[in-house]
Amino acid sequence: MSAAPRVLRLQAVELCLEGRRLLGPLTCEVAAGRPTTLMGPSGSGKSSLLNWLIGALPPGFSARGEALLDDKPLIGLPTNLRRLGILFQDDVLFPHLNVEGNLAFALPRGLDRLERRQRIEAALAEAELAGLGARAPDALSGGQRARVALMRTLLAEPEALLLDEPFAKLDVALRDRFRRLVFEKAAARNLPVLLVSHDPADGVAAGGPVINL
Amino acid sequence: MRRDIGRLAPAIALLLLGGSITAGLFFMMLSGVGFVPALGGSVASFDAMGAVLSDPRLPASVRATLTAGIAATLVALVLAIAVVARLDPLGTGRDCPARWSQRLAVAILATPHAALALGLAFLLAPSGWIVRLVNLATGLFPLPPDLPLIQDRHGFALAVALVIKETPFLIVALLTALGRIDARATLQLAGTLGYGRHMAWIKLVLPQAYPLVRFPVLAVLAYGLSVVDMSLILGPASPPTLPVLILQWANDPDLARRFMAGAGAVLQLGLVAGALILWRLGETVLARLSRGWLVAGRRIWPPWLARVALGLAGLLALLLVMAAAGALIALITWSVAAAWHYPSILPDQFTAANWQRAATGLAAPLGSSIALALTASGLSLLLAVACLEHEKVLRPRLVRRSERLLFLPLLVPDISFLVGIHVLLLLFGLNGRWPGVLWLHLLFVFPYVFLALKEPWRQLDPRFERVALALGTSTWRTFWCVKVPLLAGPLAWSAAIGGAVSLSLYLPTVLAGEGRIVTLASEAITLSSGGDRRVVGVYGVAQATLTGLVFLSAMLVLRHARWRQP
Repeated sequence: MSAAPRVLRLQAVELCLEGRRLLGPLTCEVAAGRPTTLMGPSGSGKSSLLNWLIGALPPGFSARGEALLDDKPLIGLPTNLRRLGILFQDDVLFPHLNVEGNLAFALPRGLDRLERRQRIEAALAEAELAGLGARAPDALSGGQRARVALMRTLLAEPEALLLDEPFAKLDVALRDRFRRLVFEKAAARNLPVLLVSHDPADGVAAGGPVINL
Repeated sequence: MRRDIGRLAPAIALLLLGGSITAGLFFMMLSGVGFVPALGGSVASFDAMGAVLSDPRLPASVRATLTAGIAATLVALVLAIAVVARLDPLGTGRDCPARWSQRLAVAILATPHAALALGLAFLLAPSGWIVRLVNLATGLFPLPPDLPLIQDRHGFALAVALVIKETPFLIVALLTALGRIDARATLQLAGTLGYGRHMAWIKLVLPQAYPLVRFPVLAVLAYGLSVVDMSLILGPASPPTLPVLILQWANDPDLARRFMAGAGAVLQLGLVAGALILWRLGETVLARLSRGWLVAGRRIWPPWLARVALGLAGLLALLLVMAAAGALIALITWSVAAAWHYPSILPDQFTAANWQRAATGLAAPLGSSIALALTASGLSLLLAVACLEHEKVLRPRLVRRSERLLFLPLLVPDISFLVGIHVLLLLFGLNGRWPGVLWLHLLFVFPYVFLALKEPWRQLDPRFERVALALGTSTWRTFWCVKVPLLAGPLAWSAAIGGAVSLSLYLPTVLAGEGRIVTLASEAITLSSGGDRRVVGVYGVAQATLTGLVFLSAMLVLRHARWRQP
């Protein structure tokens, strides 16, 4: 992969809740390979910032500023055209689909049967989930669920990855492994990673700039 | 002592529901085979069933029953899904249009079936408001057209009325279900995977929400197949739908016909059971067929399709609300019309004379309606509270299992077990007397009261009670001074729902009352066949107003309750 690292840029972003400024103005550059961590207590608007980035700002909030993915302006696009993958604190696996179904749901349209099959198998193997494709999500452990959620996000071929404290609910032993897996996969796919957290260990593990809100 | 009586409450409730319905079905079977010695049938035979099956009206009757019931359920479900998808693609259930349509839906839900159907008849009939408006605009119908616009033999008019009444119910059920699954997170995540909101709704939210609304959907289907009151007003006349046919047999003085009612009730039970099984089968097939499509990756609907579907749903929903409102307005207008001849849009003159003339006749049904509603709802509330207070001492699994019994009166066609209970009433000499009518009302009122009360009651933080007890307050005082005030809102609301259910009951009233005890609901429908729209208007308006007052007083209590449930 010789492509230049992708960059996600935030320019003078401000977030207000009912007219009161919550966050910003914030300007930063998130380059692939250098995951950026936004650190702040709960209520500091960091999750809302990610919601704003994916185009799902809750009612009552307002925002100013611009977000660019490479040179493509994001704000104004509907969520489904922004190509930002996100991992939430909860894995939000779809309970009515099995593991394969959850992964297949994310695959782009227009692949033939064989190709779909192969990509799903590859994703399962990549996340050490081989053989679990037919399981229902609630028959998996917490760590397995988190890995399915990650692979699902990646199979949709996003152009950047947003992390909304996806490690917080895992127990300590799992947390380190999963954190490494996420950053590894993101780097391999040339994805800028923006992480919000209130756990300083996340910032250290990310290995990139840390911005305290 | 008091404690011991209270402890019996769950048993009493079980006996009331399970016992009555089982006994009803048992006696339905017995009378179906003509074996009720006390009524002169001492030899079991299939004569009655044979007579029902060879009745020349049966095929058309069954066809109309199935068409109206199944078509109405399908349309109501699809419309409810489309309306909720349109309202609430983010699944919050809180945004303004959703809240408003929820209120509208509840208002239509609260309107008694009979009043709504009578008003719809005034709208849809060949000499009704809609034809008059068409005539005003086009001059096409100087005389009422000779078209089967209501009481058509396929049951279309009945299906329309069912759709108007059931779509709001399913919308409320769906919105409640959305609150229980995390629809917002699901839709957001699907968005980041590239899915459009409406596609994500259909592929992700609906499959999760449907299991939660399956029971309401099946109840709607069972209701549509068994409805009597609306069918008497709007359904086909000759032959009528099967439940109406059964009612005619049950009211026949000829004993052989009474046994035919039993046999018909067995047939009705089979019909509904078959339809429910067929529906579940359809669900499974649809789920199987859509499994591949669900994960095949299509991200958005073709824009024209989304626009047409959502536009159509919006239009239909608007028509639905207009029809419901129009029905009530037509009812009110007729009740104060002096003379209102065919092509006129409005009566020549308004008058209070209809009400004055009806006043004497109105007194008895009004009185018994109020008395029945108050007793049935009061007793049900007492029983429900006693059950909920004492369920702690029971095993939770037992509670869960017996709770399913509550749903029996909603799934088992009422005409079926009521025909059996009618036989029981005859045996005990309770027919045409208060205890019999009250018993049947309780059978329908109690489940609604209990279902409305149980969640708020169980969700009340148990620490309130513990703190009060720890302060040395007696159990009894804690109940009255802590629990009841805290739950005043839900208590009032449940009582109101119970009262409204009692006010709307037609079939139990006519079967047990046998014309000696009449209510506004039963009188309005009886009079509707007589054809004086002014009198029918008066009774319909009286019924709807009384129901409205019940909910209004509950809302006043809710507003003044010192503490409201979140």
